[in-house]
Formats: sequence, C-alpha cells, structure tokens
Amino acid sequence: MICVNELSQAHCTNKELLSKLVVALAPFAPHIAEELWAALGNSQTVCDAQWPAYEEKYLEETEVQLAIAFNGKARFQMAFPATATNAEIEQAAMADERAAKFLEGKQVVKVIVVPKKIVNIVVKG
Amino acid sequence: MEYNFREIEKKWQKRWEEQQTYRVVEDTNKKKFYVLNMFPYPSGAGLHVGHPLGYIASDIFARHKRLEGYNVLNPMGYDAYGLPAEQYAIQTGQHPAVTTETNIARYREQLDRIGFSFDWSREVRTCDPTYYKWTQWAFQKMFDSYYDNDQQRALPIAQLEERLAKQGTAGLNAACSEDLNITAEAWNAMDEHAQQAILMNYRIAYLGETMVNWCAELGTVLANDEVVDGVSERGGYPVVQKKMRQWCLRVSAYAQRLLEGLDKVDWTDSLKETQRNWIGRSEGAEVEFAVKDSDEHFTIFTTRADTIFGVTFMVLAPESELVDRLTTPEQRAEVLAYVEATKKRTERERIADRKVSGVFTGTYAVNPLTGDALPIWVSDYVLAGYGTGAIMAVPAHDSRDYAFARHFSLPIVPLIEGADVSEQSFDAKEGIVINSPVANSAANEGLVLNGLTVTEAIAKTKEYVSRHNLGRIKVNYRLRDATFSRQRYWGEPFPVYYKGDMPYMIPQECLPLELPEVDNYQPTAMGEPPLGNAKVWAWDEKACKVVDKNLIDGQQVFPLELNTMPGFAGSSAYFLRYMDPHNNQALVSNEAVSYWQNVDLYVGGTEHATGHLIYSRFWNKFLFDLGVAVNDEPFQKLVNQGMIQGRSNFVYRVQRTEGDAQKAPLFVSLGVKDQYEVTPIHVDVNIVHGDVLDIDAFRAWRPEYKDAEFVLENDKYVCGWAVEKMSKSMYNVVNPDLIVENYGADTLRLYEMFLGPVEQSKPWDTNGIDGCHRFLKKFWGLFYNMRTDEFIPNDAEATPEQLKSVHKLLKKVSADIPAFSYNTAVAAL
Repeated sequence: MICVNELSQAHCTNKELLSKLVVALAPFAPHIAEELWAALGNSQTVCDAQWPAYEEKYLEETEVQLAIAFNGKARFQMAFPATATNAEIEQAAMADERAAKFLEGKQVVKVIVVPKKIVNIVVKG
Repeated sequence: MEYNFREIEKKWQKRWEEQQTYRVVEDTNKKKFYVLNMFPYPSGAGLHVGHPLGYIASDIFARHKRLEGYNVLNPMGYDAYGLPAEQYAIQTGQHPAVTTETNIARYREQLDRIGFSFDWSREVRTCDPTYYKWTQWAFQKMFDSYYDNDQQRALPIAQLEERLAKQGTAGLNAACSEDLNITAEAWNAMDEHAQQAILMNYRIAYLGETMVNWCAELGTVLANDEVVDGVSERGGYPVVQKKMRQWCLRVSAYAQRLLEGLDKVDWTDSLKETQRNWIGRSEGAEVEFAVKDSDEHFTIFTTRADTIFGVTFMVLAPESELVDRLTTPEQRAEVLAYVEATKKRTERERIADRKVSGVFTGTYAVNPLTGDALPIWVSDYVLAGYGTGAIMAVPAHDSRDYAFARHFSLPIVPLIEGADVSEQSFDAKEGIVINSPVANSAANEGLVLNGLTVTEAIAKTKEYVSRHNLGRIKVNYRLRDATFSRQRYWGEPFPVYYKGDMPYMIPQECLPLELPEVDNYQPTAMGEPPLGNAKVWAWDEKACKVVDKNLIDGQQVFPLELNTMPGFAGSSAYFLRYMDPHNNQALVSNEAVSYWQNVDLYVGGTEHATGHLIYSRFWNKFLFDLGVAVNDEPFQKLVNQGMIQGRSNFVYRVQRTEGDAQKAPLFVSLGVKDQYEVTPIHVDVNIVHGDVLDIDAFRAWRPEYKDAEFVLENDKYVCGWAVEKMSKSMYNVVNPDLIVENYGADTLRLYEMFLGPVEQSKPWDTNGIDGCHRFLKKFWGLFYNMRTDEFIPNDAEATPEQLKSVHKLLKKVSADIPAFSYNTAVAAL
C-alpha cells in the first residue's frame, strides 16, 4: 500500500518498475497480476516470471532532512546531501535566509550538529 | 478502464484450467519444493472465511517459491470418510457417498473461485477405492511385521517365525504386548492356532484386548467424548468399561524414534513440547516386592527408586490381575464391589477426579530394603495401562499418595530434611536425604542415602538396584498403542476374513476390498457394527472374491471383518500418495518419492498435535523401514495458522412489561440503549454494514420482527459489536462467497493476510475490506487511465525516488514472505 501510494503520487509510468511491481503482487493477488502482466506484453503466465531482486544501490538515502533550531527551538527544516560534512551543514544553515532574523543582533556562542536530526545554533544577546 | 475484477478473475481461472498452469511433474533440472495444506473434511456447511486462511498463506508461499525457480508441488484433496456423513445418512437415508460427492463439488467450487495454485490432477479422496487400496495395503504390511528393538526398525514377521523355530525367544528384543519366554521346542510343537496367537503378541498391527466404553442399549462402542458422567451423551443410557478385541497399531514401538525425530524438524517449541509430553519418556526401575507369608511376588515401576525408604503402602489398579491373587477371603466381597464400580468410569474421568477411594486387600508386601510390612490396597487412581498396574506409595513426596494416606490414616515418612508434610506432600526433587534408612534399623547394613542430594540418591539407588538384582532399569513411555477399529460404516473396511477367531489377510492382489452396500447404517439388532447389515460380505478363499453371506461354510467361504478403520487411517500417508496418485502398482513409485522426498512446508491447525501429527509420523517411519518413504520425518516445517474470530453485531430489544407483551418488538440504537431496559441479541452480520443495520433486511430476517419498531440515532440504527468465536449460533459467520461476489478473490486474499500475522488469532472485520479493494483499484490505476482506457506504462525514465520506492518494497517483501509476515508485506505494497 505504501509503495503504490508513493508511485501514484509521483505519477510513475516507468514500464520496467511497474513490471516488477506486478510480479511482487502476483503471489498475493494472482488474477489482477496475470491480467496486467499480459497487458504489459508478456505471453507467458506471470507464475513463471522471475522474482525481481532488489538492488542495494537504489536504497541509499541521497538526502537528509534536518531541523534547524535556535536556542533549542526548532524554526525550520533544511535538506542536505547525505555526504555533507558537519562544517558544510553549519555553514549552509547559517547562510539560509530564514536564519537571518534569528541571528540579527545576536552573537553565535556555538553550533551543535546532531547528524540526521537537528542543528542547534546557540545565540546570546 | 475500470478494474473489472469479476471479468478478470473468471477469465484467468478459466485460462489456468485450460493451460494446466499449476500442473507439475518431477523435473530433475529444478529444485523441488513441497507445500502441503492439511486436507479438509468436506462438510455440508461449506467453507467459512476461517478455512481459506491457511490455504491463502500457503498459496502465497508456493507461488513465491515458483517465482524463485523451484518446481513446486502444491496438491489438494479431501479427508472424506468420517462421522458427519454417516450421521446424516442415518437421519435422512442418503448414502454417505452421495452426500460426500455433493459436498466435495461445493467445496471445489468455492476453492476455485479464490484462485489457488493447486495441482488438481493429483487430487485424492480417502473414500476412493483407488486411494484406500493403499491404506489397506499399509495395514496388511503392518500386520506382517514386527519391531526389532535392537535394530530399532520394523522387520518381516517371517524372520521372527524363523528365529522362534531355531532358538525360541532367547535373546529376542522386540516390541510386544507381553514379555514371553518360549523355547524352540515348545514353538515347534505348537499348532498353527497357538503359533498365530504368539505372533499376535509381536505384530505391528495386532488384535488386542483394549478397554472400551460399551453401551448395551445403543449396541455400540462410544468414544470418550460421547460419554458424560458414566452415561451415553445420546439418550443417557448406562455405559460400562468392557474389554474388547480390537485391531490396534503398535505405535509405542516407535516411541523413541518419535521422540528423537523432533530434534530434526522445524516445528514450534510448544508443539514439540506437547509431543514430548504425549510420548512421555521416563526412566525408572522395575522393582520386585515379595508378599508377606506367601510365595507370591509382584513388580512395580517407579521413576524414584530412591524413595523406597518412604514407602508406607502399595496400591494396585482395580483391573490388575494381582487384585485377585492378593485379596484375602475376608476382604473379597468389598474388593469385588469396588472393582465393579470402577468399570463404570473412563480413564479420563479417573485421571481428572481427585476424590479418594480404595479398599484394603488384606495382604502385605515386604519392603526389599527395610523389611517393613506394607499393606496392599486397591484404588482407581492407579491406572492398569501404565507401568505394571501396581505402585509403591510414598505419601510424603507424591500428592495423590498423600491424599490417599490422609484419607485412610496411613503413615507418612518424609525423606527430605526440613520437608513439611503436615498439610501436603513435598513434591520438589531437591534437598538433603534423611530417613533413608531410618536411624538404628537393620537396613543400615545395605543401601544408605542419608546426607546425599536427591540427584545423587537417585543415581546411587539405580546402581544398587541393578547390582543386587532387586529389579531392572527400564525406560517407560506414556505413549500407548492406537486403537484402530471403529464400529462405523463410513470408513475403510479391513481386508481381513476370519477362520474361527483367527484373522487372515485377503491376498494383496485382491485389494482394494470395497465398502459394501447396506440398507441400514446403524448397528445390527445383535449389537454388531453396521457392516453386519451387509448381505454380500463374505470371502471366498478359493475364488478370491466377495460373495453373499449365506454362502459361509467355514471351508471355502468365511466371514469378513465388520469393523472399519478410524479417521486417521486415510490421513496418515496422503502426503506420499500425492506424489504418485494414479499408480496402480504401488503407493508411490521410487522415482517420485526420490524426487519429492518429504513435505517442506505443512500448513494446518494446532488441534492435531497429539492425533494426526503422531499417527502420520509413526506411519511414515514404518513406511521408511519398508523402503517406501525415503525420509524418516514426513513434515520438515509446520506452520499453524491462527483462527479468525468473528465480529458479532448486536441489536438491543426493549424489555416488555407484562402488559406490553403483544406489542411489536422495539429496538433501540446503540447510543441510546442506556436509557432503556434492554436485552442484547445477536444479529446476522451479513445484514449490517459499517455497524449500521439494514432495517428492511432485518424485518425480513425473522417473522417475529416483521413489524419491529426502532429508535434511531441520526436516522440510523447503530449496532453494538464484540469479538467472539466465529460460530453459527452467534450469527457472525462470514461466507467467503459473498466477499468474492462483491469484491473479488484478490481482495479477499489480500484482506485475510492483512488482518494480522499468520500464526495469531485475529478478529474479522468486514469494514476493513474496502481498504484492500481501494488498494487494488489504485494499483490498477497505475496501469490504466480510469477515464480514457489508455495503457500507462511507457519508457519514461524512472526517478531516483521511484527506484528507491520500488526497491525498498522488493527488499521488504522478499524478506517478509519467507517469514510469513504477510500483513507487513501487504502494507508495504
């Protein structure tokens, strides 16, 4: 249900992916699977298809979402590439236009980056 | 284009049939996988939604295995013999074969509509002569075999005959009903009748004396659950315990292998524990006790020989032959009366009942270690079938012995330091031993256990008993032989005829011996089983065929066995027959069984733990000894599906005062019922939708409700609900046909799996079906534009998110299916 929801929302039309989905559904709902498998142009029964193997490389998280907080209060969210360093994250957070109003007239005491979770910017003044 | 499930499902069910999609043959190029569902008894009520649960679970597994490249055997059949069809025949006169055929057709129709991947070309029916030929064949083979304990396997009885002729029973270690001592000379001097009687003591299928529940008025033997409080459930007639000659199977011979085999299979710990307890292996000693002032002596079996110092009396089972030998003339009358009274109680009642009763025999036994005189009593808390039918009682350390001692004011001697036996026995097997023996007694010259731990004491005593020949170390099993005769019509006939009281097997080439026609399915006027009503039921030994009974002459024509086989006969080897169901020469060919081996996944209910699952393992081990089965265990992995509980609905009827009795019934909705005095009543769940009652349907449901009035909430009648067992009496049985009709088989399949983990019990909730149906519609929507009929899939590139979504799903489902976590797999889809 989750996957179908995601693909629907994304308006996925890729034939190869949808074919794999049909095979994954086949043990559970064989009739609809058989019908769609035939519609995809296959002449053999879906029962003899090959179970689709997953590939780890597509499962890597490419992006991470972090909450940006000031003195412990979360103010907005930011997305970073998974490979970003703490220094890069800190820099980007401070430079973001939404951070401006929380930094105005204040002195930054320190910045704490909790990976994959939150960036807390401690200010004084 | 809409998701037209009706058309789609009909189309593919037809296509699969035409193309024999699910038909499999042995294919040495592919690895095999054997999935098996416990086959159903085709009842008249048809399927309810609980039945397909196991079938759907195994079907998903089977289909997945095929997608992984395995050659999957997924057969189905019917356990067609049994009591309901016979009872229906007695009530309506319809032949069981006819009603069974009708029921099977209905079952098949219902199953076909759900889209299972069964190989129906391999269908078996236990009532089909081409099937039960092999049930009869296996029985004959069991009759023709004995069990050698040294070699731990079955061997042809001819080998035993040869051995007896050469050396008698010297050195013979075989499973038997009684230990016999016979010289070769004695054997060779016996006539055929005497020799056959000896052999019967060893045969794996044998005629034995067993206690049965006999009801003279009904003229039949009753099963334990047909007897309540000593009278028949049907009619309340008196029932007595009677010894009857019946066919039995020497299952106990296989006890050790049945125990050890559990270590090889992938079953739940709980199921294995149940079987281990049922087999009940105990190691103990058989100790001989002399009788005071007499030449008599007898043996008792005990797992705690170390407590012999605390024995203060002996107890015999009322059925034991010792009772007669050891009762004094003065005590005779009282003892006899007690033994008679016990005949009326079943073994189950005796185990369950904690009321103390017993009679003194008048004689005493001598304690072999202390020399004390121990009074010998008779009591029904000792069972004749376990051990030797006599026990040594140690009231300080056994609760039943304690209750007996208190009741009859017999001495209680504690054997463990600090044990408080003022209120109850001290049953724990720990502590330091005392009074073993009592200080200053002559017994201190012999075995002394004082100061040892219980564990040390047990070991020291065992060694002492065997060294001084006071008895022998013996392994005992609780597992009993199976009673294999039934006084029923609708079952497999025994391929047996009688010359006098001696049974003979009809020749193997003449199998199957087909069930004859009768004009009455009940026991005969003389109390014979129903087959006694058959006219053509005698065996012509010369012509090798079944002939009319009036031709019986005791020379060439003899009477056939009147009993039939029990329900578990047909289900004991069906998993082998599926491998080769049309073979007329053998139960299963060597090629077929070498390829399919045994069952990789067996799906069914836990209620068979000590019945079918013991008998089929025994039967398979026998066939393994015969060289027919190639695997010692029939079922590698067992999965028990949980039950589907019903979701009952209730309406609330306002209680009427006397004056209003004539008025039409008034029902109030759930939200307002507390304002009235109401009686909740179960209502048919099929006329309730989303807990809202279909009022018109309700008025039509019962004649007394046709003018019913209602107090509604927001113009609706809201019903109450509860999760209960799915049962007809609660009107919460949901028929899968209705679901398939309204939503389709694919929705039903998804929904039953989505309800919860396969092995747990879960409540049915028709309200959840919509969710699964909408999911399939959405799925369909990925392929067809709902408004334009356009087929959507194309070569447009997939985005990283889409790839991630699908591969994440594939990873999850690939792990969930082998783990039977179908509910999370469906959620992930």
